[in-house]
Amino acid sequence: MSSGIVRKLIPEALIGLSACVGVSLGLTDPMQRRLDELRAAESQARSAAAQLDRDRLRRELLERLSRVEAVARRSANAQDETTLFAALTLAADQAGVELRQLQGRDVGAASTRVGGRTLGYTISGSAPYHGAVQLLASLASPTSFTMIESVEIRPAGDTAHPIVDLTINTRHDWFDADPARRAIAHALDLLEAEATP
Amino acid sequence: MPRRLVIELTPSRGEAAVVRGGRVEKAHAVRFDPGDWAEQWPAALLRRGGVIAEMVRQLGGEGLEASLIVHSPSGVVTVHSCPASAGQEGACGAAELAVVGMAPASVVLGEVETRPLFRDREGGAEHAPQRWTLAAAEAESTLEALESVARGCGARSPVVIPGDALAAAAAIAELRAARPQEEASAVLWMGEDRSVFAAGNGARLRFARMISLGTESLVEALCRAPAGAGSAQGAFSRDQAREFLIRAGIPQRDDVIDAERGLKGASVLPLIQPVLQRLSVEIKQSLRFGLTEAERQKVRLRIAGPGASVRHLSRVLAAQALGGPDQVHEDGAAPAVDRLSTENGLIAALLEMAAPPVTVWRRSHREEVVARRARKALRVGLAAAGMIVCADAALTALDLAEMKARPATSGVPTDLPEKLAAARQASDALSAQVTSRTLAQPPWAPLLSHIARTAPEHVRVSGISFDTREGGAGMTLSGFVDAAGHAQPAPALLTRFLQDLAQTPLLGDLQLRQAARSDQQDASSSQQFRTHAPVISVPSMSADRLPAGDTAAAEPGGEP
Repeated sequence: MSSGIVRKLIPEALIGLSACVGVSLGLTDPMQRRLDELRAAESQARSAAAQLDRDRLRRELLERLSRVEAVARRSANAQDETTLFAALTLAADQAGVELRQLQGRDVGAASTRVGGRTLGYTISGSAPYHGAVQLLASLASPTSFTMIESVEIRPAGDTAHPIVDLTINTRHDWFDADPARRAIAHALDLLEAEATP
Repeated sequence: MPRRLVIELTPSRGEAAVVRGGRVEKAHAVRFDPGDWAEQWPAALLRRGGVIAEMVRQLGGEGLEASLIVHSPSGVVTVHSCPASAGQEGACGAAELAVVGMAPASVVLGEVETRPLFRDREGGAEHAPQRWTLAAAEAESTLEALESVARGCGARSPVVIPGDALAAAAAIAELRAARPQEEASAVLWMGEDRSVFAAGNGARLRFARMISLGTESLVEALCRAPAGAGSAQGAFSRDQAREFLIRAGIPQRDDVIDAERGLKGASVLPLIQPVLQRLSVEIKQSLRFGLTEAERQKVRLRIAGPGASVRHLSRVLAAQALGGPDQVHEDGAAPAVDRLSTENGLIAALLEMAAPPVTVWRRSHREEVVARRARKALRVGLAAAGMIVCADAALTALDLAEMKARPATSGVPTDLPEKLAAARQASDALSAQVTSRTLAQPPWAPLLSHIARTAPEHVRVSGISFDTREGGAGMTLSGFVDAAGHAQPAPALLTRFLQDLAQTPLLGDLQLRQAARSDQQDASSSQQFRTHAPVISVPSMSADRLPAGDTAAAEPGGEP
C-alpha cells in the first residue's frame, strides 16, 4: 500500500478510533466504575449479610421493639392533657383522695422537647393518710413516666376522722416512640425478606 | 436485480441500454461519422460525449453503474496460448507480456488485465494442450477520456470492456458450445468494425485472432461509387448501404437490388468483393496455419455477431475461403434484423455472459482499488469497533440499571446493616431520652408508711413535706411530742422517735432543725420539733429494665 493511501487513511482511522475511545472513556468507563462500585457494595453487603446471625438479630430487634412499646405504653397517659387528667383523676379516686384541685403548671422549657413533651400538674385534695400513701405509690409506679417533685401533707379533720390535706406537684413525660418503632419494623422486614427464598 | 447501464462505443455508432437481470429494458442508438475516430483519438471520443450523455439521459440511465464497451484504436487485446503445463499464473504472465509487446512504445498503457479463457482438454499431434488467456490493456489517455465521458453521462463506477476482448470471448464461447466430437469448427464473430476469427472444437482451441474488418467495411465499400456507374446509380449513403446489407446481404450477380435505380447484384459485387476477398484471405491464412489439411477439409464456418445478419455471407466466405459453400453451419445464420448491439452485437454478447471477460483500468486504478478496499475495511473495522463499544456501553448501562433496581426488585437486603444501625440508633436514642428524663424517684409512699409505722401515739405530725426541686430530695417533718401520761419526758420521747425514724435506709442523716418547748404545756411533757433529712432516692426503673406490661402494686400505708 502506498504511503499516499496510508496518509489518507491514518486521519480517518485516528478519528474513528478517537471516537471509539472517547465513547469508551467518556461513557462506558464511568458506568463501569459505578457498576463495579455497586457490585462491590453488593458483594460486601452480601458478605456482611451472610455473616449476620439472623436469629440473634431478630431476637435483638424484637427485644428492642418490646422496650420501645413499653416506653410507648408507659408514656401513653401523658400523650395529651385530657388523657392525663383522666388518669390522675382515676388514680386519686382509686386511692380515696377527694380532689380539690387538679391544675396544670408550667414546667419551663421541658414542656416541648425533641422527641417528646412534658406536662406538669398540681394535685390538691384531702384523704385518709393511707389514701395519700396509696396515691403517691400509684403516681410513682413504674407504669408511667411520672416524677413527684414535691409533696405537702398536713393533718386535717379531727381525731375521730383523721384525714390529711395533701398537695402534690408532678411532672409527666411523654416520649415519641414512633421513629424507633418504624426503624425497627423496617429492619425486621428486611430481615424477613432476606430469609424468604 | 439492480438496473445498470451498458454503453457500446464504436467508430460509427453509440448505443446505450438500461438492463436488469440480463434483460434489456430500454435501448437507444445513434450513428456517428467514423471519419475522425482513429485519427483524432481520444479527442473524437470526447467530442461524442455530449451525444452519449443525451442518449443516456433519454434512457434515464443517470446514476446507474455503467459498463462501457469500447472499440478503441489505442487498445490492445490478444488471445494468448501457452502450454498448459505452465500453469494459470504462468499463462497469465505470458499473456501480459504479449499484450504489452503488441502496444506501440509511445502509448502509456494502463493496467494489463488477463483472464483465463480456455484450457484444452486434449493436445494435438504437434502441440501439447494449451492454456488460452485473454489479455487486454488500454492507453491511459483513453481510460481518462472514457471516465470523463462516463462522468458526463452521470454514470457511476464505470467499467471499461475492450470490444475485441468481448468479441473474442463471445467467439470462443461459440466454439465451446460446439460438440467435442466435431473435428473442427470455425467461428467468425463479425462485428461492425472488427471481427474475431477462432477455430477449434469443444475440447481444443486452435487459434483466435482479431481481424480489422466488419460489417461496416462492407458498408463503406458499398458507399464507394461503382466504377463506370452513372449518376443515376450513384453511391449508397451509409444508411442506404446498411439497409441494403440487411435486406439483400451478399447478392448474386443477377439479383435485382433496386429496380428503380436499375441496380443489380453485378453492380455492387465489385464494390464489396475486395472486402470479401480480404476476409477470405484472413480466414484461409488463419486456417492454413491453425488446422491440418484434413481438418480444413471438414471445418465448418459459423458467423456470429452482427455479421450473422448479412445474408449469404457465410456461404460466400465458405466458398471463397474453405473451398465449398456447404462448409457452413446453417443454424448459425441469424435472422436479418436491424443491427442493434442489444440484438446481436456486443451488448447482447455481454448480457449472455455471467461477467465481463476482462476489464481494463487506469494504472492508478489498482491503487485506488487498494485504497478503496483499505478504506472500506477500515470503516468496517471502525464500525465494528463502534458497535462493540456501543454494545459494551449499552450492556453496561443495562447492567447498571439492573444493579440499581436490584434492591427494590429482588429483595436482596443490601442495606440491612444500615437498617439495623438505624433501628439500634433510634431505639438507643429513645432509651437515652427516657434515661435523661427519668430521674431517681424518692420513695415517697414507703417513707410515709415508715413514718406511720415509727410515729407513736404521743407524736403528732403537723406536716410532712417532700421536695425534689432544690438540690436533691429531702423530707421535712414537723410536729410535737405530747409526753403527758408517759414516764419519760418529751425530749426523750422525741429522741426515741427520731432514732426510730432514722432506722431506715430511705433517709440520710436526720437533722433536728428545731425543738422547742410547747407554750401551752409543761416543758417536760410537750415538745415541738421540726426535722429534715435527705431522702435516698431509689433509682427509677429505666425503659431498658422495664418488663412489658409491668405494674407495681402500691404499698399500703399506715396512719402516723
